[in-house]
Parts: sequence; C-alpha cells; structure tokens
Amino acid sequence: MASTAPVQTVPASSAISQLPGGNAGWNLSREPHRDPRSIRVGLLTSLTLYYKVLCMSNPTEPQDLLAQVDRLRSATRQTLMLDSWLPFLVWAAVCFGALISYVIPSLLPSRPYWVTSYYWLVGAPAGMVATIILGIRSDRRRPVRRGNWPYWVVGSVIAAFSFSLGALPHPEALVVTLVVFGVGFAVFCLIERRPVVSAVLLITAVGAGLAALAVDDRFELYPVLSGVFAVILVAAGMWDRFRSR
Amino acid sequence: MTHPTVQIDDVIHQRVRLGILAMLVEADAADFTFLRDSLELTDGNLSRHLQVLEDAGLVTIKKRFEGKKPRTWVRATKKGRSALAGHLRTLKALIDQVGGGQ
Repeated sequence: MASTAPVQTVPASSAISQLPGGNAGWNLSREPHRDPRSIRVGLLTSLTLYYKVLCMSNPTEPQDLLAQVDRLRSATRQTLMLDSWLPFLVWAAVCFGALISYVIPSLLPSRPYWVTSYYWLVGAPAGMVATIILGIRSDRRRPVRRGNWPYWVVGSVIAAFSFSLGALPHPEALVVTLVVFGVGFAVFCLIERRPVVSAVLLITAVGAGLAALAVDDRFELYPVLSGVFAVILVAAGMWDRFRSR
Repeated sequence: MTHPTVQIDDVIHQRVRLGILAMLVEADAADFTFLRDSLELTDGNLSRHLQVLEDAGLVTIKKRFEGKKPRTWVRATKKGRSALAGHLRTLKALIDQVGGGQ
C-alpha cells in the first residue's frame, strides 16, 4: 500500500539556496527584514509595468492596427462598388446613342437634325430610370449600404441643368448638355472615390466647354464629344469591373 | 502634455472592435454576415463584440426581414464615428511620438 508523505513547506529563501548554483547574488537570507515574496511581487510588478509601457509605446502595434483599418476600409469600399460598373456602361450607351443620333441624320438627304436634339428627351430619362433600377437591385444584393441622397441630389442637378440649358435655342445647346453631363459624372465619381476617372471626366468636360467657345461650327463638336464621353465611360466601367473581381 | 496612450479607449482599441468600426464608417450600414466573414469571426464572437460596442453607444443594431430572409444591419452612430476618428488620431500620434524619439 502506498503511504502518503506529509507535505513540507520550505521557506522561499532556503528553497533558493538549495538550488544548483546556490543563491549567489540572490542571498535573500541576508535581508531579514524583507519578505522574499514581496520582493518577487515588486519585481514582477515593475517588470510588468515596464513591459506594458514598452508595448503600449511599441510602434508596431499601432502601425499594425492602422494597416488593418486601411485594409478593411478598402475591402468595404470594394464591396460597395461591386456593381457600380453597370451605370457607367448604361451612360456610355446613352452617349453612344447620342453619337448615332447625329450620324444617321447626317447620312440622310433631308438631314433631319431635330432627331439629334430630341434624342436627349428619350435618352436621358431612359438612362436615369435604368440607373435607378440598377441601384435598387444592387442595394438589395450588397451586404453593405451607403446613403443614396448624394446621388439623388447630383442626379437632380444634372437633370435640371441639362434640360434647361439644352432647351435653349442656340447651336451649342447640345454641347452644353454634354458638358453638364460630363461635370455631373465627374461629381458622381468623386462621391464614389474614383479621383482619376473624375479628373479625366472633368478635364474632358471643361476642355469641351472651352473648345465650344473657340470652334465656329459648334454642332460639329457634338459627335466628337459624345464619342469621347462614351469611350471614357466604357473604360471607367471596365476598369471598375476589373478591380471589383 | 499627456502621453497619447492616456487617450486610448479600451472599447475601441481592441483589434476586432476597431475593425468593425472601420468597416461601418466606410459604409453607412453593414450586414452581420459581411462583418463576420470579413473579420473571420464566429457568430457568437461577433455578437459579443457588437454588444460591447452597442453598450458604449458606438453602434446600433437592427434586425429585420427582407423578403423571407432575416437580416441584421449594423450602423455606426455619430459617437462611434467620432470615437474612431479620435482613436486613429491617437494611434498616429503614438507612432509619431515613438518614431520621433528613436
């Protein structure tokens, strides 16, 4: 039968002195007024505090956290932009339609350019309705959401300006409509944090506005501008699609 | 001048909670499953962290049905947004201070 030996309690100072190597440098028995446990606790506390301060001041931890924040924010942005390439293609199609609405009448003998003017009365509302439907569908699908009010505000401003300025009876009315659309798209891209596309659209729109002032036959500028905007919007949409994959 | 560590709020300083707030500030609202998958957490773990943030008034949680599917949407409050901005400022100050002292 196994016998149980009584447990012996050994004072910490004598336990240390019995260790191999003795108690050199740690002769606690020479300090009779100090409790070795309190020394150990004190030492541990100061070490812990030192370590805590060191860790709190360690630049790698805050840098890590900031890097993580950047990574997550960018992932969230990408998820938000998951379907945003579609409206780009819708408006590219609208701009391409504007180009077609100029080319076809110019090939006909009677040259019915009224088709070109009236195109926007159909093209712009159709583009807006398609964009709204795509936006609603995309909102339902996405696991993240953002307030839609900036889009409504910018969209309303574009509609108001393009229709009121485009309706004016002067030859550059259609060019003005396209310039308004260009600036509006640039603002949309800025809201969606696409500074490069926004800058390209803004420069094109402003350049078109200045060219309209310099060129004699402003109506000739219209198809060129429609084509340029269509190409920029297709490129932006494709780039977005590529990035969101 | 006080050390930046004094301004560190333990509620936000936690890695997961900081991540949650970072994502919610970027989007207006995020789905529970999106947060869970992005942060690679379990349902229970994320719920616990969201509870802490909600108790601190940094997020609001709303559960609703969309069609037949129940969805939980989490939003950052105004307090949450400013708390995150303040915390990021503190972290940058900490890096600058330690980096400048080296």
